[in-house]
Amino acid sequence: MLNFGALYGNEWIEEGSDRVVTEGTGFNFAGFNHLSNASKYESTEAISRARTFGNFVNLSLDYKEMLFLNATLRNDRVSTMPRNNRSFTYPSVSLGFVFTELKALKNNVLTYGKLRASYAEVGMAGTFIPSYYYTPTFGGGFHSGTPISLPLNGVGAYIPYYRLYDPNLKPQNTRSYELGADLTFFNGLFSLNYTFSRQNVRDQIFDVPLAPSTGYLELRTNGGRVHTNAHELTLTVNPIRHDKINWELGFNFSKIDNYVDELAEGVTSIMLGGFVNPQVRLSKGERYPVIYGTSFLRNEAGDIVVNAKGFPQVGPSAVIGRVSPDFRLGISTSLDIYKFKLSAVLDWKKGGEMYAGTSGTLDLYGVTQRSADYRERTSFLFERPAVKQGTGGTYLPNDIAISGSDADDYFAALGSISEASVVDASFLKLREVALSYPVIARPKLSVTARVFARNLLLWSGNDTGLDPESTQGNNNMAGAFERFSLPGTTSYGFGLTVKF
Amino acid sequence: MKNPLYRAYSLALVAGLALSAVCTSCSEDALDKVNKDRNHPQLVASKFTISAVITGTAYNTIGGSLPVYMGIYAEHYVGVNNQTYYAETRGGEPQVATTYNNEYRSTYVNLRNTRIAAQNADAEKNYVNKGIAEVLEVINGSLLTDMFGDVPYSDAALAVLANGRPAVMTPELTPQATIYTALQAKLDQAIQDLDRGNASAVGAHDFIYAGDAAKWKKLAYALKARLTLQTLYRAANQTTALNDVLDYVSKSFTSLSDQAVFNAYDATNLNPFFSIQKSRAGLAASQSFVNKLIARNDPRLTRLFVAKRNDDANKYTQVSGASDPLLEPAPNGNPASSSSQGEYSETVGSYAQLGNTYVFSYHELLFIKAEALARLGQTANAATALQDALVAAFANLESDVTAAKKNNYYTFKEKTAALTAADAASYYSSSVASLFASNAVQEIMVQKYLGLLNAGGESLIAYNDLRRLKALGENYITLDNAHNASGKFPLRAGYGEGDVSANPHVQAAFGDGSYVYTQNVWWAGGTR
Repeated sequence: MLNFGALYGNEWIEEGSDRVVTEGTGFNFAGFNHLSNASKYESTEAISRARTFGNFVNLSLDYKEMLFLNATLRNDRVSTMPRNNRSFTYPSVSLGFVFTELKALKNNVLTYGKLRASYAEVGMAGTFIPSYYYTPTFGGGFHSGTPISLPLNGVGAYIPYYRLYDPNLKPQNTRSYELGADLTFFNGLFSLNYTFSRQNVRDQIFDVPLAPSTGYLELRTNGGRVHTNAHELTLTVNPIRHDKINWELGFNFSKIDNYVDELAEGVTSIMLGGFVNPQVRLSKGERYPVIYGTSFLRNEAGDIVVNAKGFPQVGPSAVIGRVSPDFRLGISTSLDIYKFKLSAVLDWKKGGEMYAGTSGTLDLYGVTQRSADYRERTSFLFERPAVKQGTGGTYLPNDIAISGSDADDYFAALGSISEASVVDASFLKLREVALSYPVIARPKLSVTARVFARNLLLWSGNDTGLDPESTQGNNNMAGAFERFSLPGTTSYGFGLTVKF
Repeated sequence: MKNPLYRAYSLALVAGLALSAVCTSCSEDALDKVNKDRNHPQLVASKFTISAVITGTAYNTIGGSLPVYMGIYAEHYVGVNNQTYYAETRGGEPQVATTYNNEYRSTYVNLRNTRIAAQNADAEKNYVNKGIAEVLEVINGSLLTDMFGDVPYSDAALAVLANGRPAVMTPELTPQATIYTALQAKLDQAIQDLDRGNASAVGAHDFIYAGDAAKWKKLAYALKARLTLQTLYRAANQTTALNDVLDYVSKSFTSLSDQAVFNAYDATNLNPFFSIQKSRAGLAASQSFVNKLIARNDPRLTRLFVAKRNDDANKYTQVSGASDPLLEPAPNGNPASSSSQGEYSETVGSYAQLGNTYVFSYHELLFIKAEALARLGQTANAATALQDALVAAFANLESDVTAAKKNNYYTFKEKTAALTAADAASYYSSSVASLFASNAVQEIMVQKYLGLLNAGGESLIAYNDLRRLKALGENYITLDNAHNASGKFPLRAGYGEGDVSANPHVQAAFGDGSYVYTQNVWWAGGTR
C-alpha cells in the first residue's frame, strides 16, 4: 500500500596526485630510446590535492504503485573553493502519478498513463586557487612551435598568471523544472512520451574574458546566467504484432535551445574554440553557440556591397552563423519477418549553420572543380544578391562582371571573409540499414549473422560536398566548425554474434 | 559477559572520535591547507619579472607581428601569403580587430608586468630594478599609443588588484597627448631611480645590459629623444623641442656597444622575425625599397637581398647586384597571389636566426641626431651625424648577415664581401652627399628608412616616421602601393579584439574598424 524509505549518508573524498613528466627531444641517434640519448630535457611537476565532504538525505514514498514521491537534500563542503564559500546545499523533489491505476480510469484504449513533475537544484563547485606567478611561454600567432622559451640562458622568469581567480567565487547553481507524460495506447500499439524541461543556471562559473587592457586575460568568476528550454517527444508505433511478423516504428523529436541571458560586466561574448577568425562563441542574448568572425560589408539596408571589381568586401566582425538547429528528428524502424530482422535509422536535422573551412580554402588554392569552372568562364558575377555603389550614396544592383582570369583574386577576396564559408548545416541522413538472421538458436549456443551499411545516403543543406556532421572536435565546437576534418565515410559490414 | 553499557560507551567514543576527525578535517583552516597552491609562487623578486618582461617586450611587442604588418604598410616588405597578402592588398587584415590582437594583449601584459616589477623593486629597495622597469614601461606604453592612438592607459594594466580583480574592469581611453606627458615623466623618474642603486644586483636577469645602470640611463635619454621628435608636429616651439632632442642625444649612446639590444638567441631560441619567416615565409623583398637602393647605387643591395626560396639552384644565395636575375622583388600592392611565398627574393632577415632585436639601435639615435641638427639648420654637423649613422647602420646590417651565416636551418650563401666603415664613407660621398646638399632632412629621412630594414623589428620606427613626416607635410619617402591612392594607407593599427569585445569604451572607438584609414593618431595630426 504505502512504502516509505529514508536514507542518510555521507562521504569523504580525498584526492591527491603528484605528476612529474620528463620529456627529451633531439635524440642523438636512432635505436636507443632512453632519456640519456636526448639532447634537450624538459621536466614539469604538478601537485594536486582536493577534499570533498558530503552529507545527503533521501526520502521516498510510494502509494499503491500509483503515486511516487522522492525528495533529496545534499550538502557539500569542498576544498577547491575560496574560504567561507565552501559549503553549499541543494534539494530536489519529484512526483510521479500513474493515473491509469485509478479504478475509474482503467480502460482498454489508454492502457498506461503517467504524469511526471520534478524540481531539482544542483550545486557545483569550481576550482579556485589564489592568484599566482608563472613562467610565461611564447609562440602562437605567426610562429610555429615554441620559438623561444624561458628560462633563457639559465635565467628564470616569472610574471603574474594571465588568469585571476575571484576570491568571492560562489558555487554555481542549476535549477531544473521538468514536466512530462508517458502514455501507452492499446497495450503497446503505440506509445507517446513527452518531456518539457527548463534549466536555469545561475552564477555560472566561467573563465570570463577580461579586456586585455586590464593587464589580465581571464577572471574565473560567477560570470553569467544561461537557460535551456528542451522539448523531447518520442512516439513508438507497433502496427503489426504477429508471431511471424513484427513491425516497429520509432520517432524521436527534440528541440533544445540554450540561451545566454547575462555575462559579466562589459563582456558580450565568450570564445569556446576556433581560430583567431572565425571562432565559436557564446554571445549575450543569443541562442548559443554562434559563429563569430569577419562578415560581408553591408550597407544600412543590409545588402552586401561589392567593390569596383565586383568583389565582396570585408565588414566588421560579427555573429555570422547560428549553430543550433531548429529541431532534430530521428526515425527508426525494424521489421521482423520470421527470423529475419531488417532495421533502418534515418536522421533529420533542420536548420543550424556551420563554418565549412575546407571548401573555402580549396577554392582559394584553386583546386576545386568550382574554381576551375569559374576560371574557364569569360565572366561571372558574385553569387549572392548584392549591390554596388552608385553616385551620391545610392546603391544599384550588382552587375559588375568578374573576368574568369580574375577568379583567383575573387576567391582570395572570399577567403578573407569568414562569412563566405558559413553554410546551412541541415541534413537528412540514412544512417544505418541492417539485416540479421539467427543461424543457430539453441539454449546453450546462439549464432546471429548480421549485415549492415552505415551512412548510406545524405541529403545536405549545402553544396560544399561536406557531410555536416564531419566537424572538428567532440567538444564545445562540435557541429559548428570544419576545416580539413576527416570526411564522413560510408561503411558496409558483416558480423557474427556468438553467445554460449 | 561484557556490560552492554560498556559497548554503547565504546561505540559512542569511536563515533565521537570519527566525528571530531571529520570536523577538524573539514574546517576552513584544514581545507585552506588542502587547497594550498603547491605548484606556483605567490610573489617573486622583481628581477624575475624583469627577465620575463624584457623577453616579452623584445619578442611580442618589438619583434612580433606588428613589425610584420607595419613593415608591409611602410613597404619594407611585400606581403605574399594569406594574412600578409591581405595586408598588402588591403583586404580585411588592416581593419579587423583580430589582426593585432595578440600584440595588443601581450603589450598590455608587459605593461602590467613593468608596473608590478617596479612596485616589487621599490619594496626591495632595488631602485635600479625600478628604473629598468620604468624604462620598459615607457617602451611598451609608447608602442601601444603609437600603434593604437588613444588607448586605455591611466587606469589600465594596474599593478594592484582590488579584491582579487582588476580595479577597473573596462578602462577608459586616455588621450595620446596625456599618455606622452606621462611617458616623459616616467622617463625622468627612471633616470632618478637608476642613480639610486640596488640592494641586490639584477645581474644576468637583465638580458639587455646585465644590470649596467649607466647604460639604462643612456637608453632612457634615447627614448626621451625619440618621443620628443615623435611629437614634433605638436610641439609648442619646434626649435626648443629640437634642442631638447639634441640635449637628450648628448646624454645617450656614444658607441655601438651602448645600443639596447636583445639577443639571447641560439640554436633553439630564435630571433622572432626569423621564426615568423621560417614559419610563414609571408614577407618578400619590396620593389619600391629595392628601387630606392638602386637609384642610390647603394652597396647594401647585395648584402640585404637573397634569391627566392623556390629557386632550387640558387636558394638562400645573396644577390650580386641590381642586374642579377636572382633579384626578384615583389610588386608593391600586387603580388601574384595569396600563396606566393618563396616566389620572390627575400631579405637577409629571413635567415638571421641570431639577429639582434633592437630595443633602441645606435643608428636610430644617430639618425635622430642628424634630423634634429638638419632641422635646426646646422647642416655641417648634420652631415657628420648622418655619416656616423650610416657607419652604424652598415655595421648593424652586417651583424644580420653574420647571424644569417650562422643559422641552423639553411645554407646561406654569401656572394660579396662584408661592408665596412670605409664602404659607408665612400657611399656617402659618391651617392648621398649630393642628395643631402639639395634637401638635407629629406635625405636623412630616406637614409633612416633604408637603415631600419632588418630582423630587429625597426620597421615599426619606419612606419612611425612615415606618418610623422606626412603630418609635417614632408612626403619625403615615396610609397608605390597603388591602394594608398584610393585612401587605403593604414594610418594606425586597430584595437585588439580582446578589448573590442570586452570593453565598451574601446568597442565604441573601434566601430566597424574602417577608422584605421581615416583617423590619424594625435601626433600625426589626428584627434585620437
